[in-house]
Amino acid sequence: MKMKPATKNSFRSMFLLVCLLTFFSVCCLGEETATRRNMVTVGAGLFRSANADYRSVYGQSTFMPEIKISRLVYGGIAIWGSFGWIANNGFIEEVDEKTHIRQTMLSLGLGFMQKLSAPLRLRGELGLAHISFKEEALDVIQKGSGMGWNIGIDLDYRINNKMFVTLTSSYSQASDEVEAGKIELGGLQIGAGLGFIF
Amino acid sequence: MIISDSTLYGMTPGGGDRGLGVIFSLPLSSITVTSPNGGESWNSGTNHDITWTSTGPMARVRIELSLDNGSSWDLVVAGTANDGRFAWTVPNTPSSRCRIRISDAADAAVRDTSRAVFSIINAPPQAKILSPENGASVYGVVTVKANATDDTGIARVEFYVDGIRKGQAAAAQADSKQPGHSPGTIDNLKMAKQAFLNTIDLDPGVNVFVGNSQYTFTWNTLDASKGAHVLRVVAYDEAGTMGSDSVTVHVLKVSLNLQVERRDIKAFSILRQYAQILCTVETSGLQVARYNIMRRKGTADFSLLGTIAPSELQNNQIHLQDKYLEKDSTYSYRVEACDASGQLIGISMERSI
Repeated sequence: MKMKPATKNSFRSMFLLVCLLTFFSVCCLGEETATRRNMVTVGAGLFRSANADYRSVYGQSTFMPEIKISRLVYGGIAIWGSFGWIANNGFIEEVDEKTHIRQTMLSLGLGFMQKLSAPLRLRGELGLAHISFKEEALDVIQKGSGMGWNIGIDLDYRINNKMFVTLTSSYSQASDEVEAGKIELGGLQIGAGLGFIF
Repeated sequence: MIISDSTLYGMTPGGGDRGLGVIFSLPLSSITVTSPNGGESWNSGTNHDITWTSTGPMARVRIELSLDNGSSWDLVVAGTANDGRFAWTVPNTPSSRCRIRISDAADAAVRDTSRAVFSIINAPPQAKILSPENGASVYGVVTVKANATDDTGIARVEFYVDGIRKGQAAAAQADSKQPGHSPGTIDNLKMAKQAFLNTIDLDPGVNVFVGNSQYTFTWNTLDASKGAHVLRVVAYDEAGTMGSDSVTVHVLKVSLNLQVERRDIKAFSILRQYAQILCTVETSGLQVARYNIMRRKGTADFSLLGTIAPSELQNNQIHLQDKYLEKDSTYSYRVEACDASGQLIGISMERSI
C-alpha cells in the first residue's frame, strides 16, 4: 500500500491560510501589545495517525492545516480553540483500489503561556478534542466521530508586538467504534505557523 | 411274408385258377428324420433346414415340433412337399428338449421323430457402437451412437463407461426389430413411445435418443478423468439375452485446478472480505476460447462472475478477485473452459468459501 500526495484541496486550503495570514498582518500593524489579549495562529503541519491501518492506507504522515484562536483570561492563562482538517487519498494495493478520507479536528481547552525571553514564549495547552471522519473505500462510505482529549506545546517567537511565528506539537486521542472494531482517531501533530496578536 | 427294408414280400393263400396262391411284393411307407436329429443348438430366428428321407408313396408330409421331449406337439406345417427338406425359421421358443416329428400328411401312422432332443436357444441381440470409433480422442459432450437389433426386438439398451452404467433406454418395440417385422399402428407406436419415455433411466448428464435400431447416448466427458475410458453398449432382448460392443476412447480435457481463499481487507475504518481466486490451467493441446468464472451465493444457481481470455492468463494461471463478499454468506466458485463454439471442454471442481 502506498500513499498518494496531498490533494489539490489541501493546497488550496494552504493558499487561503496564507491569504488570511497576510490579512491579519496588515490589520494588526501599529497596535499596542499591552492592550492585546487575543491571538490567532494559522499554520500547517503533519499529522501522524495513531492507527496503523490508517498509516498503511494513507501514509505515515498527512498534511494538516490548522487555525487556532486563544485569549488570555488571567495572567498567562488562556482559553483556546482550534480547528484542523485533512483531506487525503490513499491506495490499497492488494485490491488495487483508491480510497479517500476527510477528517476534522475541533479542540477546545485551557492553556498557559510562559515568557522565556523577550521574543520567546512557551505555551502549554490541554483540552477536549472532537474528531470526525468520512472515509470512502472498498465500495463503502463510513462516517464516524469520537470525543477525546488533546495536549500540546507551542513555542512562539515574536517578530514584533503584533506577530509571531510558532512551532507547534500536539497529541490528540479519540476513538470510535465501527464495524471493523475500535479505531483510533487521534495522533501526533507537528507543524509551524504564523500568529497574530490583537 | 418277408419284410425286407421297405418292401413286404408275401404270397396269397390258394384261390387262384389252379388253387395256387399269388406271390406279391408291396412297398412299405416310412419316414426318417435326419435333421434335427439330436444334439443341435439352433438360435431362434435363424433359418435351418429340417431334412428327412422317406420311402414309399408319400406326396406331402406334416411337420411338428415338440418343446417337451414329445409330450406335446405344435404344428410347424400341416403339409409340405415330401422333398426331404423344409426351410424352417426357428421360433422364439427356447427349449433344450425339442424334437421334430415328421409324418405322412395322409397317414399319421407313418412318421418319425428326432432321435434325440435338440435345443432352441435365444439368439443374442446384435449391438454395435457406431461412434466414436475405437481409439478416438474425445472431449466435451460426446454423442455415442450405437446400433442394436434382435430378432425378437430390443428390450433395453444400456450404456456403460468403464463398467459403470451411465444410462439406459427401453426401446419402442417397433423401432428395434429387424426389418420385416410389423411396425404396428400409429396408436401402438404412440404407446410404445410413451412406454419408452416412462422407462427411460438416466444418470445426470446422460441423454438417450432412440430411433430405428439406433441408440444415441450423450456423454459428458467433463465428468470423466483424462485418458483412456471404455465405452460399452449392452443390448437386451425380451428374454434377457444380451449382446454388447465396446470401444476404448481417450478423453481430452482442460484441467482446471481451482483454489479460492476468503480474505479480509481493511482500510482505515472499513473492513471487507473478498475472494482471491487462483486457477491453474492445463489445456492438453485443446484450443480454449475463454474461461468463465462462475459464482453462486448460498444455494442459488451459478451465474457468470467474469470471463477471462486465454491471453489474460499469467503463467497458465487465472488470477481474479471477487469484491466484495457478504460476511455471513457462503460463496461457491467454479471455472469453465469453453472452445470457440461455446462447448465446455473443461470444468473445475467447485470450491466454497
